[in-house]
Amino acid sequence: MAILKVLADSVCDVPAEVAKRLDITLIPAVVVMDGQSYLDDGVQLTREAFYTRLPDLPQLPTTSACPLGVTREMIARKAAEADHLILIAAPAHLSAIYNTFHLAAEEVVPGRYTLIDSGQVTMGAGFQVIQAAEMAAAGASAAKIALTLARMRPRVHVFGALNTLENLRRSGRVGWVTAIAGRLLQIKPVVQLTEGNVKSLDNVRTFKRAAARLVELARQYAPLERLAILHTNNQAMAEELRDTLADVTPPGDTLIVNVNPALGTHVGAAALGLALVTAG
Amino acid sequence: MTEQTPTQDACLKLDGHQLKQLLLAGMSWLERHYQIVNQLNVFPVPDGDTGINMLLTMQSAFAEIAELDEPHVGSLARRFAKGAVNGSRGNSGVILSQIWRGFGVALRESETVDASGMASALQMGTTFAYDAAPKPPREGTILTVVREVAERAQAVVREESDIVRLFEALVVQANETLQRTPELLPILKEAGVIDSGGQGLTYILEGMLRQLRGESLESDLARAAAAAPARKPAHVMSATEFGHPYDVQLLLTGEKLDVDRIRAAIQAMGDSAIVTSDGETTVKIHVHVYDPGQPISYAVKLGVVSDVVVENMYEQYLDNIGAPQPAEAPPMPTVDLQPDDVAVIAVAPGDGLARIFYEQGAARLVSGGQTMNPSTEEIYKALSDVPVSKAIILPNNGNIILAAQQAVRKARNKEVVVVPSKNVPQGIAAMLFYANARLHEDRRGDLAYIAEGMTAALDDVVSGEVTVAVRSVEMDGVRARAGQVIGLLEGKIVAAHDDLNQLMHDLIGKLDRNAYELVTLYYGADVKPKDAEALAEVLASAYDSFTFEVIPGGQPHYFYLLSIE
Repeated sequence: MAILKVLADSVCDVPAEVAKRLDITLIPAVVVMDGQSYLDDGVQLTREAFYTRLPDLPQLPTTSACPLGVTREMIARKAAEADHLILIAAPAHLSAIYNTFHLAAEEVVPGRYTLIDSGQVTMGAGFQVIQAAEMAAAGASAAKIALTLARMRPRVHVFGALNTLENLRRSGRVGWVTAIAGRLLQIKPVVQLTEGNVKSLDNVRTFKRAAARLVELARQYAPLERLAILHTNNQAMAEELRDTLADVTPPGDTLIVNVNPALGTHVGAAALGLALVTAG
Repeated sequence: MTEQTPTQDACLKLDGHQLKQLLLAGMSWLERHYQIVNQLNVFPVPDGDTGINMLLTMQSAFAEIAELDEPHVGSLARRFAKGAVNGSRGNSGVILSQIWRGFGVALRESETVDASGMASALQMGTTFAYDAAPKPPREGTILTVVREVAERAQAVVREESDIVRLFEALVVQANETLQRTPELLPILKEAGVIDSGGQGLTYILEGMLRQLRGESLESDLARAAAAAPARKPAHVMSATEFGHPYDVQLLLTGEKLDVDRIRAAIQAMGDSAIVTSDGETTVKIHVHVYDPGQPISYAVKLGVVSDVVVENMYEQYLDNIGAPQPAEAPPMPTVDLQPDDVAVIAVAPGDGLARIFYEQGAARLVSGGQTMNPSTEEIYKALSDVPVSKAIILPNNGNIILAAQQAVRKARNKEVVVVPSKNVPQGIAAMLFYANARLHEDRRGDLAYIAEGMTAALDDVVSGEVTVAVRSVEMDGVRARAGQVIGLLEGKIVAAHDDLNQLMHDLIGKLDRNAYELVTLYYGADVKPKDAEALAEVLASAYDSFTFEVIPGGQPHYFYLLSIE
């Protein structure tokens, strides 16, 4: 039986302990903040530290793909342990990660890898990575894994409730949300992220109400196969949201995830969100 | 219940000296409050200043008896009446003078006056007042106040002979009638005031009661009211809307003057005509006209004309309201309506508020609100005007819901739902639901879904209002003096203060910090943007659990409208 190993970029937000348990290799994206580069590896820069500093930064941080050299090295190291690699990358039209993975893999493991575009960010991708790792551990083939993920993708949904529009304004991406134009500036958009696109579902005036919309959405999509609570340094409300959703939570641990800087730089701090997979 | 004991000896009758003191007290009390009466006069009847006109009338009347040492009530009252008629000024002054004239006629032969004599005198005063007023007499004015006071007097004296008790009842009645005047006279309601002439008369009666009770005639009320900012009308009338701009007053002296004929001729020239006479030789004429020459030319043909006063009321009106220069505003946003869409028609006072409704997708705005309720016709017109067949009406005021429903009944060819928003914050909350529904292709045409959601959204916000108390009140456990700034939450007074910013602190302090997170302040036409921003900054640091948003509302009368959610 061929040995398969799964690698993914850190934008998929699979928590470190889960990655360790399922033998998933996370290739860190690079965060450039205040003129300095950090790897999004939880060591050089923790997510907590990122969001604590975010509101006060004179310029919004930027993120980029892991340098080709580092990527190549990480892929090579993993290739030594496996017959075949599954590489899962953030959407190609959003980021250079997919292309970096492609270039690195072609050099290091030509013909011994399967590169998959997750079509999603944060745990929308993360669930696919976990699924792939679980299947790989159980001995599934690369083709079977790729097919399963393709079938799973339409059942993956990511929702967000933004606590501020400030970051979208500063990054020039306010067009992501159909923010109600005009004088009412206190708008908390509830959005859906699909294929890297952001679509407004609702614009409400208080964050409490935005959070309540997330609850409604989870109930609307139940029964669920997987559920993760997303946040940007808003652990308390994330736990509250998890408890509120106990009735629709699938068996197993519900992950609470402080989302990656690539997304968080636009979303801003104190946001909440959900990633879910509906029952198939 | 404890038995009521009179605080002073019962007063069963008055002689001329006592009546003189009573009249002086009535005048003095009016003098201390005439500015409040003036302020009631701001809109929409800019007929000079009611307070000062009534006061000048009273002063002229009292000047006639000031030097007199007259024990005879009848003689005193007649002299007082003569002074009042000669010195009467303005609509309310003229009518006031006629009340005193009737008073004098009724008491002509009386050496002293008792409670029932007072009642009869008031009755006669009412008759004279109605005779002199423009026909048909307008209710909801000083006429209604004097009539109901006189009726109350008749009822009281059947069982009560104490003049103090009588005046107590009269003052209560006057105030009750006064508070009802906006219901009787729509223009008062539109302006958000009670009748000024009625208020002037009430002050005179209150002064008389204070004299009878031996109470002080000092008061700090007038100062408080003078310090209060003037209330601005919602809408500045054009010269055409305003109508007859000139107020003409003159005294005609001649022989065998036919008062009824003169009155008919003057009435034909304009409006607010008042023609009174002191016998056949002197006629006092007051009329509002386009051409001030007309009544004067007419009068000189009949006799000698004197004391001519011509005032341009439209100019006074513009001065009074401090007519703002129409500011350059960007055009209102328009909503893109598909044939199957649901349109929203909203009522809002003030350009800023209207803009917010437009920004959220309202198709038509009908101007109006707290002080100017739009008619069924105006709402119906907006409804007919929208190019779609499904619509929602947001009345944004409890007093407009019925008119909106009537408009719906008229609009037979359209499917319309009234979402009963009682105030602007509720309306904006409902509007957000509408804007959200429009984000979804499958919902934007669903009238039932939108109407239900908008109605549910009304409860999303707690509304607050901050304005000036037009009269002293004690309501909901809060005492507010006239002229103070008052804060209301969900229609209940929760705070009163002399200082607007302090009031805002008090009001915000009443909010449950755990229940709400956002306070939106819509500042009115009387608040400078700078001041609103500064206030919000101070509030934000004092109450850091709330987010404050400041938005220009442009509404009249209300310094701030608050939306708390």
